[in-house]
Amino acid sequence: MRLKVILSGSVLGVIALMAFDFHVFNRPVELKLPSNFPEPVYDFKTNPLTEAGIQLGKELFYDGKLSRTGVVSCGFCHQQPSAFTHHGHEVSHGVDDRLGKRNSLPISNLIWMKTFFWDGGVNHLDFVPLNPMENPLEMDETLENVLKKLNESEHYRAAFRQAFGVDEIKSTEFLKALSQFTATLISANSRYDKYVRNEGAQLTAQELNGLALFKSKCSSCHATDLFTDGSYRNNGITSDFRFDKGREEVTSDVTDRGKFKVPSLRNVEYTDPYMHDGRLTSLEEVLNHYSDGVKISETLDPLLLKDGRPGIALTESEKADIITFLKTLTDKEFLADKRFSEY
Amino acid sequence: MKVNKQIGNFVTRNVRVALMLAMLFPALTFAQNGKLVLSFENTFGAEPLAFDKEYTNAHGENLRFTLLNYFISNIKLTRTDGSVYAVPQDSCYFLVRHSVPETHKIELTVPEGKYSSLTFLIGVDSLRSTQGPEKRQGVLDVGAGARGMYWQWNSGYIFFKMEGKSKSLPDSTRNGFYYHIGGYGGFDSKTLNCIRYRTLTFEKLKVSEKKTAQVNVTFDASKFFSAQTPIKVTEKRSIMGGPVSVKIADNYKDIFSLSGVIYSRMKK
Ligand code: HEC
Ligand code: HEC
Repeated sequence: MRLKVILSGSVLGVIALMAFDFHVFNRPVELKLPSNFPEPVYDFKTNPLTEAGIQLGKELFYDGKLSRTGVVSCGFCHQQPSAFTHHGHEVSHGVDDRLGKRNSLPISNLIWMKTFFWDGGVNHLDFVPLNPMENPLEMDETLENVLKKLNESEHYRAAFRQAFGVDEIKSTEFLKALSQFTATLISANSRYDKYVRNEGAQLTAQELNGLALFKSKCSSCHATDLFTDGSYRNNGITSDFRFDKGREEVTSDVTDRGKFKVPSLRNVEYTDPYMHDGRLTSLEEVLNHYSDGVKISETLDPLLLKDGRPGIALTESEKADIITFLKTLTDKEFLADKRFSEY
Repeated sequence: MKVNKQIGNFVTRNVRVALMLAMLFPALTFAQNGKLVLSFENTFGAEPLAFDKEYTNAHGENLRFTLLNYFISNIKLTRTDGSVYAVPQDSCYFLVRHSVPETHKIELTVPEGKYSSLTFLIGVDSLRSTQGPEKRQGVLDVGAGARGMYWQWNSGYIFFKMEGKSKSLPDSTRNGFYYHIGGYGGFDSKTLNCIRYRTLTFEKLKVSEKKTAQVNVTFDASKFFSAQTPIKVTEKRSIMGGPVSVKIADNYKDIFSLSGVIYSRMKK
């Protein structure tokens, strides 16, 4: 008897669910966090991920509406096949082909970052979009005006209603929607990851040698499996900081002159050109920089100035081994993942 | 009739709850609140500041102002017995825009009592400056209320912004002066810190349910140019970040001064 009641109850429930408009139902999403990564920095309690939220964020990421001219989207400068960097451009170009001052940074694993951009000026993932949007050299728009455009669109009004339950789109929902998408851009399935997580991948003898060399010569800055310690340092790429003072532009501290974010090296095979000004075009050039090209200045990182000699001692074969290792950080799944693609 | 009966039923059914509430009530509402208005009056010397007037600063330079905005936050009142009332954090952020007269008056609901001093921050505290957009509503909303008062490139608010034109500058139609001061001190490493608190002491401020108390605070813009670190527009017409802004913050902090307390009967 009781069983019957339960049964017919659940049948009714299923029918009710089927009749329910699934578009109104916004399913929560739990991110799978890689076991070889530390705890994320981003606080998901303030922005719980949902299917509709992520989808909306992706749409915004690829929408030129976020720029004054209507054609420059986030995805214009951050292209998936090159690990969300602006492939083929030393420094990014934005609306009306205006040239920016810095090379675009690849976007991945953002939820583990405390600060953003080459100079670390932005302290919260949610506030990252304002920087390119309101930069006259990039998207040259105002958030206020973007919100106006979005509120005029029936489509976006409905999408925000579904994702956040709001009738009017305000800064909070807009910024959180973009973070919902960018938070999901996790790259953690390279051959290297599968090797360290014992998921059946092997590294060759040369790659393993490269890994050992990397650990001893590079990982004090490109640390952990995120391949950055999140700090700002001068790696001697230049000693002339008149054009770009780096971290000093944010801190007004002369001891920060010429210091830039230690970038992650994930997918580094595809993120060329390299360095904040995009001056190096290949990994060979990068390794040659570290062995022979490090320029001395007052803020040069002490790790790169041992016994008064600038640079890191590396033989040609060691460089080759490190490069083969760096290529094991290529995450093909990430670069082709349909969930992240524009089309 | 029917409605009345329903209400009656409702009351009887909930009589126990009602009684319990009634017992709690006096305890909860024992401390009465009164209204306190902080009125910010921008002046140039003795005159009220007007954007369509020309002035001369202590260095003999001609000035006309086009913009004057500042954040006031983290308001605290100290009672004569030394105890402190802090305006609740989520409702303690205000932006005084000279061009919008309604923003010159900050209305607060404050426990009744006698107070001896008022403290506020000119700007936005570091905690709030590192929180997500859900904590940045109203005047802190970077896409609405805080428009023009936020630096995208270092995720910080501009605490104090003064702009204008000066005939003492060459080509004064284009060459204005711009003083944008901000910097909350940094997130995971130290950055520029322009957080400045100002404390004003009264002989006595009485907040009661019966009367509205208004504290008048004057900001005399003429002093901006002749404080500890003198500013000449002809020497420094643009400050947007940079080490000197710390000194400017010291300058403007002391300019906020108490010009009086007035009381008016509450309109019932
Ligand atoms: C005109 C090209 C351009 C556009 C459009 C653009 N970006 Fe960027 N992005 C860059 C450049 C260049 C950098 C590095 C700049 C710097 O650090 O000063 C960057 C850096 C970033 C970073 C920092 C990554 C890190 O490791 O710190 C994130 C995140 C980012 N952009 C997201 C976005 C989002 C979201 C949008 C759309 C709202 C967007 N970008 C639009 C060029 C662009
Ligand atoms: C002292 C800290 C430090 C050490 C040691 C170091 N790096 Fe770097 N690396 C940096 C910094 C900082 C940058 C960014 C510099 C800039 O753009 O101005 C960088 C940039 C790079 C880039 C460019 C990435 C991009 O997307 O533009 C590569 C590749 C790289 N490093 C590889 C290596 C390798 C390989 C080693 C070891 C041989 C190494 N680094 C050692 C600090 C370091």
